Amino acid sequence: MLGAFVNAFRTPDLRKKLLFVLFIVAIFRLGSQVPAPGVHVANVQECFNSIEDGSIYGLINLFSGGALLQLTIFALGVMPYITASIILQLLVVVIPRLEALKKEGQSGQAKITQYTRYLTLALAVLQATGIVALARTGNLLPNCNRDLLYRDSWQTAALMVITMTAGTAIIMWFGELITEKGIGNGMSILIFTQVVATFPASLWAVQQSEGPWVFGSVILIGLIVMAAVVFIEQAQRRIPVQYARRMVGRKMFGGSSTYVPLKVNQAGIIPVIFASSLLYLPTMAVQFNQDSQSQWVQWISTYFVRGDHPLYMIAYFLLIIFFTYFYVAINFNPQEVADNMKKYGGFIPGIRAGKPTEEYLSYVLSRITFPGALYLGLISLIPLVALILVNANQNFPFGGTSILIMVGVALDTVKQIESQLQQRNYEGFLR
Amino acid sequence: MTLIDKVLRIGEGKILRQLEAIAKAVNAIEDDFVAMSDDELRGMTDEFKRRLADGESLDDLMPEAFATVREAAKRVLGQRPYDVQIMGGAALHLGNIAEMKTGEGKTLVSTLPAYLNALSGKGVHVVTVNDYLAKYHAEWMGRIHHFLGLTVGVITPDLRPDARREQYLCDITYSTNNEVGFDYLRDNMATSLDNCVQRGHNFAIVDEVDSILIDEARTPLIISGPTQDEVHWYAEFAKVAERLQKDTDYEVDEKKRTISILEPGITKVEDYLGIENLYESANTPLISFLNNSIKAKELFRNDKEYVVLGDEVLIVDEHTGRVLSGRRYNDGLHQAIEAKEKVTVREEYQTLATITLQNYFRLYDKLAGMTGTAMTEASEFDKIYKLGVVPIRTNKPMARVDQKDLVYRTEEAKFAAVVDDIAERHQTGQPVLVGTTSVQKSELLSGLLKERGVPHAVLNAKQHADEAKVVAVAGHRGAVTVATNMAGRGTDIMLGGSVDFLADQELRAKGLDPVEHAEEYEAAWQETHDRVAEQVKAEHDEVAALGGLYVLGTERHESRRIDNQLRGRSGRQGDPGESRFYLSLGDDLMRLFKSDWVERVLLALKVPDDVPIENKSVTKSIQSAQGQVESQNFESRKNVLKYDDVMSRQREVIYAERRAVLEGEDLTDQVRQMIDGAIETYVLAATEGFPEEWDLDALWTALRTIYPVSLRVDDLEREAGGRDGLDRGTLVSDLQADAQKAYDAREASVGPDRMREVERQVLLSVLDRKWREHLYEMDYLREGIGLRAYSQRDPLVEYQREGYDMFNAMKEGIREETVGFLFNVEVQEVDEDELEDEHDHDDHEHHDHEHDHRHVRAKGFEPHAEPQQLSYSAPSEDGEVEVRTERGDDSPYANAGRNEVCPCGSGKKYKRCHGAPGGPTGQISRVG
Repeated sequence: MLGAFVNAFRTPDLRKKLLFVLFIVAIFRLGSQVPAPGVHVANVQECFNSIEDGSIYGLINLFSGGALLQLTIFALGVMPYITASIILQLLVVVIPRLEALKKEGQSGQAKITQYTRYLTLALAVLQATGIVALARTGNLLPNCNRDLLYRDSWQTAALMVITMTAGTAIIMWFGELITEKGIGNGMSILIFTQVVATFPASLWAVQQSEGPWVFGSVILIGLIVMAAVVFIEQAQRRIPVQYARRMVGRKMFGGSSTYVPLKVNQAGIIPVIFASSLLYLPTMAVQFNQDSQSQWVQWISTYFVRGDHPLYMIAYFLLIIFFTYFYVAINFNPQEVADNMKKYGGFIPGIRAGKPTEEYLSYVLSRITFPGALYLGLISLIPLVALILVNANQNFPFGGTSILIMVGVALDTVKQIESQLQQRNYEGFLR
Repeated sequence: MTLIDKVLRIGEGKILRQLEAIAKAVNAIEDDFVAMSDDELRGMTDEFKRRLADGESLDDLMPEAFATVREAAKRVLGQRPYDVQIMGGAALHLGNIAEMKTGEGKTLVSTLPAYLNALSGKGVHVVTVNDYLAKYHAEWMGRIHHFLGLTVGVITPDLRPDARREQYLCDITYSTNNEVGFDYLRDNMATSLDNCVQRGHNFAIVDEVDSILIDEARTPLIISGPTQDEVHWYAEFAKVAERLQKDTDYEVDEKKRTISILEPGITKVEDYLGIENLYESANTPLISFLNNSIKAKELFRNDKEYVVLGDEVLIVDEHTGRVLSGRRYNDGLHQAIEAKEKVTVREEYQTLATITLQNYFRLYDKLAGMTGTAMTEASEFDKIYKLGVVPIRTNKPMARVDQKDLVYRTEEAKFAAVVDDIAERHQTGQPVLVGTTSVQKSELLSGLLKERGVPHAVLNAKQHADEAKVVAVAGHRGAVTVATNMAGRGTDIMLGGSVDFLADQELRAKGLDPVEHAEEYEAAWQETHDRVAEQVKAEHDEVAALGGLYVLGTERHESRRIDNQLRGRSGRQGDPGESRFYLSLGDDLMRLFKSDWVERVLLALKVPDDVPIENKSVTKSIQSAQGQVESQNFESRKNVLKYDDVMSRQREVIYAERRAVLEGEDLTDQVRQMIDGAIETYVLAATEGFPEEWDLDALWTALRTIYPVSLRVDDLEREAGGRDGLDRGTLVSDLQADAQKAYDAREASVGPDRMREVERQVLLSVLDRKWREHLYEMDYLREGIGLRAYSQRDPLVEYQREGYDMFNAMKEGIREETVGFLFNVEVQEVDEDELEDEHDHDDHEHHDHEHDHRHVRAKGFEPHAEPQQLSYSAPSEDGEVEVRTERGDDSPYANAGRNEVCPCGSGKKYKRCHGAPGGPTGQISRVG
């Protein structure tokens, strides 16, 4: 992997691309540190340092690399875009017009992308308003009584909302710039940097509070988990596909190179996001009713606010498994795949085109999704379990989501760099 | 106009100002050149060359060089390039696309940059769309270059390699895109340097550049050879397809042009063929037959996508409306259509070499282009070719009026209105050109006009014998011409008729033939010409007074450019003119791409059928339909190119190495390395794990197929003290040393010089075969790579990775096979005489071998082991000459031009004799 990077830096135009990515990432990180207008930086810093865990925006904060709670211009980070993409992905299944667009190919896809952008902006306005409102009332950072804003007027608030929304738009643009002129998928790389950004700090926090032994074992566990993730992320079932081609001469070409790849973890990280979002809902409800003494608040506070209760873990695990199946069903439609294959003359040897192919694909898919779902659930439980083991209060740095994102993006990007390197290093047979 | 187009236009003003400055500079020094004598003017060429050698750049020389050419053109042709033409020439020199309207003298423009760039001595290629134009330009414009002391060459299909090379060595070479492309491919299939003809790719000026780089972007040049094919299946499946019902047995997606078979259909087919499961691996070919036969039935329509002439199915080019004779759909589709039309099913050809025209033209250090319509595609030219588009204003202001579209609800109503309009115009005497989108539509309209009693001429892929005549008189008073896209790009319709053509006609009517009575013809020419010119002038003015040529389009095309090309037939050189499109919601384009609500709106509005709809949203929806098609095509071109880039890199590497081998590079070291490499691969593959587990006997057996192994397993084991003592590294090096010794021995027995020759021949032969197989495998990989997207992988990246692996596997294969053959091939000596005899059967011409009177020949490796019959297929503008089948150069028909006398001695023109579709087959062996 490092070798690929070194070689890439030796190739002039690849170096240009990589430097471009680094440049954009640098601006992105910078923007994540620049406070939005009207923010009382000193107060925010103080409050920020005093918080521990349990913020309702944990996941969002993870995706924004800590920028959210510091109320910077890029406070919203990539989260609105991710949410918008997920929503549209779900809508495509539901709304026939969108489905037709998706099937139209490139031009339809471009339209869907355009809708995603609009939705991103709408969501950004919404989220920014929410956060600014929380900041004004002092509920953003719990246990903090200082004023987060200099002047609490609606003008300031509006300015902040506009700034943050504009920041989101710029981030979106950055992502597309990287995809176009740099290397890898821009949005993924930006998420990657945000996730990695909080990494050293939270790791160091473990060393500070728990001492070197725990620190060492955390790193060890992290590495093992990472290796496992790399292994499983690469795993796929390859269903061979043949294309009806004319045989040329007597030789039959192209044996095994065409197949439908079914990943063990076909769903990616989305089910985890879904599950955690859903589990945040009760926590959020409690947060808003902190003073209430009613029974359900008590109950939720006992079982669901902190992640170390077995009941919470079980719920989390089951939800992930459910969402894995749910998302795979949306993401990979056997009927569509079978149809597409049929149209372009492909078929699975021995299996009829159309319905039987569809059934076969569903059969294999449901079999392979089961271990995939278990794996996702387990990976996501690791930080919760580790939380208990090391008795640490803060976010466990090797959280399942973080690792999944880091490994996924890194694998993809390195593969792209490698393939670009290959394209530039074709060698003949005469050396 | 999209935002991108707008952004691209920002730079336009700047470059136009730059061009104007150049034109001014040329004007400023013009008088000096006018004063020069012919010799002084000619002397400028040498002076420019000298200054170039002294370090001045071509750009520095531009104003003076242009002024020189301007003066020369005035003296030689009597045409002085206008300022706008100077600007166009400068735009070309700066590597742009010059957008110039019809009749603005693009040809003269191209002489300016051609002359300037030829000064560098590296060669300039001027690429036109057909052989006729190439020849004509070379002769006509060549006079200017000759006058200025440059050499001018022209590549025609009938040239042999030696002559071709000479033409390419000229300062300026005129040719067609297919000729230069095929020469490039042939150079890279050549088995001897004597057969390579091109020298580098310095600068090309491409005429009708949008047609070549955009419309034809998806159809590559292909050189192919025949393969065995089970022809009888096609007829079977044509019958099967007949029996199947649309929508119950299979589905059709017209928009994407795909079909898919449904369950009941599968059952029917299985019953018909009497097989258990159609989708068994063994039945793969049958599925391909089935798919093709249904496609042939549903998606390919007679007189639309193709025409049947004689015993042949001929593709009609969608962009030019011309028949592409010899070009065939691939992968068995053409055969399926032949079976459907019940004509003779011809066997399939296998690709031997291929390149897309874009990738060919990207080989040039500098590229420039001319066309009448490029602006709409400016962003594509910029993105993919880094070519800017510069619209050059017309010399006289454009006087054509483009009327608003008239939209009807049904096609019938539209055609009724069209006929009314034509009849009306015909009454007044205004000439009318009617553009249709297919042969079938042109015939339909022709029928309607006949009913109405309007005399008219028809020009389409089926009726094109009198093309020149039809076009020449299309500008006459009262002429009505119904044409397909054939009358689009490149046809020059002059008001009042073409002087040259009419003069020629008149002389012929008097019984004077330019060939048979050459002298009398020439004598009478000038007088007749002048007289006819006068008549034509009078009629021109009359027709112009009537409003000039009226262009009537009956349907929108796939892109705005083609519409604009059709419009551009009218209003040349400041003539008046008018154009209008009649559309209906039943047109293919509207049917497939409009949104449903348009129809509903119309129904709600209760517009009668025969009243044109004037509604903003309808107009908008037409625009968006065309926009959709354009962007869909753009995406698909972009996609093709992305994947083709991978192939392109591989091709560059292979061709470069092939060239090195061909140029006689000493291969000793490489061969030695190949031997080491092959041995290493074998040994490493056999020695995985512990020494006890190695199957050395199998290894030895395998190695013996490569070279005579002299080492023995027992000896090696004894030396190492038992099996355990063996070590991979030493095993490899021992065997390598052994193989090298064996090769030394072989070289000694054959003789070093001859060994070099054998090495070269073996390597070339293995390389060509492996490369061919590789092409096919890459094609197959490309087909299924889209499935990778299901695991969230980018198919392009996957294609790049696997293509790379396959390339390496091919290299490995080349090494192994080459080594094996080098050890085992039988080396013969062939005398010169004998060789000559054999060369009679080769597909390349005889060449002298004075340097060596004996030839070394590796048995089984004839230098020309290619299939003897090669077929060239390419996108082609006039659809006549570009595609030909040849049985090597010794077939007298291989190089016969279509308009030349047939080599068989019948006295008929080739295209009427052996070259005619369905004519005598052109495969007799050389006489004498």
